Amino acid sequence: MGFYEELFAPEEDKRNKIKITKSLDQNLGKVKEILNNCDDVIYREFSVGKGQKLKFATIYAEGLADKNLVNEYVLKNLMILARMTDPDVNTIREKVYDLIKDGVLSVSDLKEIEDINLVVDNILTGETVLLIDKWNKAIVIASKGWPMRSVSEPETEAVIRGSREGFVETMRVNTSLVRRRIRDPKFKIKQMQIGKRSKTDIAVLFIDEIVNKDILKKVVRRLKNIDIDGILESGYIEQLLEDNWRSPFPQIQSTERPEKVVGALYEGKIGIIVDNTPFALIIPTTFNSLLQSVEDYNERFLIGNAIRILRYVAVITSLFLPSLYIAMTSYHPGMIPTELALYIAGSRDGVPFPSFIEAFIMEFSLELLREAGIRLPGPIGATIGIVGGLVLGQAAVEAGIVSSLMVIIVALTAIAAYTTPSYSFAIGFRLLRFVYMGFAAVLGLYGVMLAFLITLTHLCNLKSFGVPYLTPFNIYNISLKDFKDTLFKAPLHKMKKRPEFIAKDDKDRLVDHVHDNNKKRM
Amino acid sequence: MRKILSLFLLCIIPLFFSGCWDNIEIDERAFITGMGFDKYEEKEKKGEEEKETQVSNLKRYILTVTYPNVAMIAQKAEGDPSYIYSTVCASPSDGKQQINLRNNKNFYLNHSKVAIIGAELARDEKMMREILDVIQRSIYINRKIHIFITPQKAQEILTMDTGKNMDMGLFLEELIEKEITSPRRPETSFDAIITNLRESNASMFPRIAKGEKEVTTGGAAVLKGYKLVGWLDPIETRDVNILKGRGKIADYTIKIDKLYIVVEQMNLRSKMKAYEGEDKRINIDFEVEAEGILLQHYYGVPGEPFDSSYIEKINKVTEKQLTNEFLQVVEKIQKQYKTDIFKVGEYLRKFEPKTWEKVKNNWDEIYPETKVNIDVKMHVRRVGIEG
Amino acid sequence: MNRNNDRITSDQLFSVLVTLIIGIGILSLPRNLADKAGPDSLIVMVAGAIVFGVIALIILKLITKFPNKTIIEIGSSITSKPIGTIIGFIYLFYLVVLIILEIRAFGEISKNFLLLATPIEVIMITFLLASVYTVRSGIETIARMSVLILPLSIIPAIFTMFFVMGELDPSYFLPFFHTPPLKLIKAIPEVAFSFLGFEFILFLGFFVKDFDKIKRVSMWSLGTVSVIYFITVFITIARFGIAETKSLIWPVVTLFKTVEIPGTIFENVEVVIMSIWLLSIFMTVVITHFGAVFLLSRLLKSREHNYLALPIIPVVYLISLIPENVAQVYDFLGLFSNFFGSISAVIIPSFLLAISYFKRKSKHGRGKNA
Repeated sequence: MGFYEELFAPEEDKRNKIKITKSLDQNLGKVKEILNNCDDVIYREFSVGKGQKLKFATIYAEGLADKNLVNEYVLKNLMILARMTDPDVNTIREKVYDLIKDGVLSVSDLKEIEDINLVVDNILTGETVLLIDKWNKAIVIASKGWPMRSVSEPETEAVIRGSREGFVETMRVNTSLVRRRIRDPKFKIKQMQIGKRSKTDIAVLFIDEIVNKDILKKVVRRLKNIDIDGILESGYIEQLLEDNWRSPFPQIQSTERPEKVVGALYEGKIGIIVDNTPFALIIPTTFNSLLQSVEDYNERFLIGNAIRILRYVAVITSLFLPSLYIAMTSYHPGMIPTELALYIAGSRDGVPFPSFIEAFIMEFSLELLREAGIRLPGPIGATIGIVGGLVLGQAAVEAGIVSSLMVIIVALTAIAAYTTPSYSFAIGFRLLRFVYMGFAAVLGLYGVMLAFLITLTHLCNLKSFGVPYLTPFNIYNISLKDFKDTLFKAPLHKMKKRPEFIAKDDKDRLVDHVHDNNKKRM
Repeated sequence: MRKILSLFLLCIIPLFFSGCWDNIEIDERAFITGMGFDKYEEKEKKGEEEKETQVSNLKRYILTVTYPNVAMIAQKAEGDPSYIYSTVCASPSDGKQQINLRNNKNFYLNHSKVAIIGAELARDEKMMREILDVIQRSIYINRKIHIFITPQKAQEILTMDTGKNMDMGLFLEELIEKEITSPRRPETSFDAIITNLRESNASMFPRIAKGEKEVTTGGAAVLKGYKLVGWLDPIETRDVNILKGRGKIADYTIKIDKLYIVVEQMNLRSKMKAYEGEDKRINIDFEVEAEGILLQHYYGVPGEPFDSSYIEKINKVTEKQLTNEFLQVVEKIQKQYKTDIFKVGEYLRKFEPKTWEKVKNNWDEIYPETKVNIDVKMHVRRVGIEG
Repeated sequence: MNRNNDRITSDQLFSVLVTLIIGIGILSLPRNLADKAGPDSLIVMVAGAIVFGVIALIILKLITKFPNKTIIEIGSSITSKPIGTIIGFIYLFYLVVLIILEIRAFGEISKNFLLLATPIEVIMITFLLASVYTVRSGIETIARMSVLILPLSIIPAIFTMFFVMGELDPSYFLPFFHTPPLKLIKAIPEVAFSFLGFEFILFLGFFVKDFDKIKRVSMWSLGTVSVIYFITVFITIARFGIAETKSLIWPVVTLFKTVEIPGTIFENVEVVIMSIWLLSIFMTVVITHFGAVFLLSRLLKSREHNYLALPIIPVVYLISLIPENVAQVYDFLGLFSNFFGSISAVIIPSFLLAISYFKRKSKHGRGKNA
């Protein structure tokens, strides 16, 4: 067995095996017993062959299985076409199974199983099971087909330039979206099921030769360790897999964009696609990768860089701005340019609260607005954001609760926070912002620095599947190789290697690329 | 264990929030922009300083502070542009305490812009050194603070109306930090002044004076050691600045052929050299090379200024006139005030250490006797657009 | 949670050493130099760096003989076990006193420039608690942190310093060599001791993954620190002159007080720089703290050292409150770095190195005889 087979070897089924017997009625009875009170399961018994001597039964779950497929290519073939060929039942009795499998069912994917439990499992995943009398095996016909959302643009991660495709709720479609972008046989998709009751399908995606096997081993081991009744969303997996649950920072990236997953795979990372959710997971995740957007790579060198830097500045702003405002106005007004200091002092004249409370009120109401904006239906949500922001801010200033500068600070912070591509990452910073404000209120600038040091310690301590979270910022590489895709993004033709902290084997990304005009000169 | 720890933390947190030791909201501060220090002079002052037991009741200074009306700046309220407090006190910090008793805002010096020292105080070395130390030692007062000495009382200057509905401290700061700095005023920042004072034991403080309706800032007070020894008028100050190479832009009124013409200096290179001459006397050489532009001539004399030989004549006359003017100023400083504001001693120490070894012990006596040579070169390059 | 494997790379060691060495000393270094050497400060600065370079070579020679060993093990294998333990205790004591002085000096400076009314106890305790948190995370985290903090703390400071370029007067360094040579030589230790912290490599070497590079890396870090010191001393003295620099307690902070960056959002830059400098001093404290905890755990023969981070704190805190005033803190600091610094950085390493040479020689001689 190869490395991957061993790694992904399914765990042994601990349930008692219930063999399929030769009696159709008995088998049906057992299935019905297990699927007792499951009214969505359809049983269809029928007879085939000359003299209707051979009894068949198909079982499928309504809504999960493609009824058309079952009707057209299973039942029709068996009941009508099979009769046309006029098989002599007596002579071919022993071969009926092969005949049906090879000659009658015009369905591409067939499996045979011997266990009633598996029969039930397959029915519940949407397959159609064909039971044949006097035969101790069941045929599983791949007939999964349920109504699903069509592939559409992901709403949470919009881009100007980039593919408009987003993942949907069906895992199979999602893997196909990824596969379409990597037509390499080395791109592997390994499937497993997690959840005692939900039996959710999970696909682990990676590219052989590029993937870091140590990380892959860790991921699979942790996935196998999960023993939960149900997985509703990839967030469940994320929380059960991550290194440090106390951290405010996501250690696993989630995305709706196939090309983001593909990009990560090319870097030697691992993708996890979970059924029933459009959010795929990327492992390992670093601080840096959470601030990258797919667009950075699509845009040209200068523009991509400018946007990237802007985003870093925005993150720092969203974290520090309110706390610095508090520290500067109530502790070190000497830092503010005189004219501005005098203006702030004047505009705060008559505000009854200390600046911490002032900032807290505004930040808190902003968070309220944000949450309300999400919960309310689309058009109203957008409106309440604008109306709330404008009206509330203006009214608060006029009522003398906050100073006018505070409104600017809060607005700027909010805008800065929304530039972060990853929602869960941004929310971590939003949370920290309040902590920073508290520190600033007690110890001024020293407090802010102290909070920063503690955050930094935490970030430095944090690892995502063995990869330090702040990589590559905190490993020195004198040649700056790994810095090519961080705060700055090297031009595409200069990014010849995959990031070294992940990819181990095949490191070359790009063979020496010479621009055309350079060629001429040579 | 964990429970105890969390309980402990829970107890600690309120302790921190009861703190906020340094927290003073920005609107509760009085941003002192201008400070004035005067000597307090009573008619019968005899024996006052000997009363050691009543040190705290000493009356030595008059401290005046001004801070702007911030509500007016934020356009929230009308009223006077600034609030001025003045008090008689034993020391500046005693004055601060007294003002705190009368003011509703917290005294805050980090944005102080100007400190004005009365001439009477500047003549008293002891008090002058006290004030300089207060400014130097303070954590709050910026080293870039502008320092002035006024022949009148600092209090009078600070209480004047600027006529622009502005706080005096802010007004003076804007006046000094204009893009075009006037050469008729020495360096104003405390930092520059104090470095000169330390290195050469002499320095020029800018002079500020009360006019009819407004304040005026030309001229300089000359300090030797830590004591005021005399004044320079604005033109003399300009000349000193040119000799030191600081006044890049200046204009000279020249009398040539019974006409008054104006030459504006656009560029300046000035060099000072000191050395021991053959007669064992210390020589000080000033080499000034300036470029200029003819700013004003006499209307209706076409052609003349556009003549190279005439320009050469202007150069010659200007050079002569300036040399005389400079010599007079240097003589005043050297002979009358006996102060080394050209940093001759410092120059000798750095570049002629051997000579310095010889003269350093009685430099004060040698300096007034040194020989001064001034060489001015003027090049008028342009004459404007009238031929 | 998976534990860190407690290994650092030599590149990380570089930044650990730089952030460690640059601490409190740099703020008053120009004053000490101007005071002792006058206009020849820069010459003394270079000479001091070279002298310490020689000391560093001795230390490096010693530890490269014993890769990935701590000073305790080196000491016991060269001499004997009890002596090794005694050496360990000397270093432990040295480190603890170092934290005490650092934390107190830090408290004094931040009280002066950041928080005037806040009790110094609060400043010190919060700082120490943050340090405990970092120390408990282990050397790997500390190393990663120092890599980040090094550019964060150095670049803005140097960048800001360059804004006074226009006001510099290099003639303050004239005349050359006019100070009596004896006085200059006496001033050299002043510089050499501002490199203290380098000797931590005696036990930090234990963690280094690629030990073969340690020599190059640590010399590089010394070079970097020297350059930073040189720039600082040059700019400070050229800005204020000898007499003024001598009179300022923290001339470097005052230097930032005079900086005016055109068009910035900050008026008094020194507060910003002080809070950035705080990062660097934090690293110094953390690494010293870690060193003390690590040596203690070695002496106690325990494999874990995390739990020892907190118990040290009360001791440090209480002793650090002993000095009466800021002048005394600096007196202690000077006295201590002269005495213990020379013992730990110079005497013990060269002593051990000499013995090891002697031993090898005698062994060699015996081998020849036999």
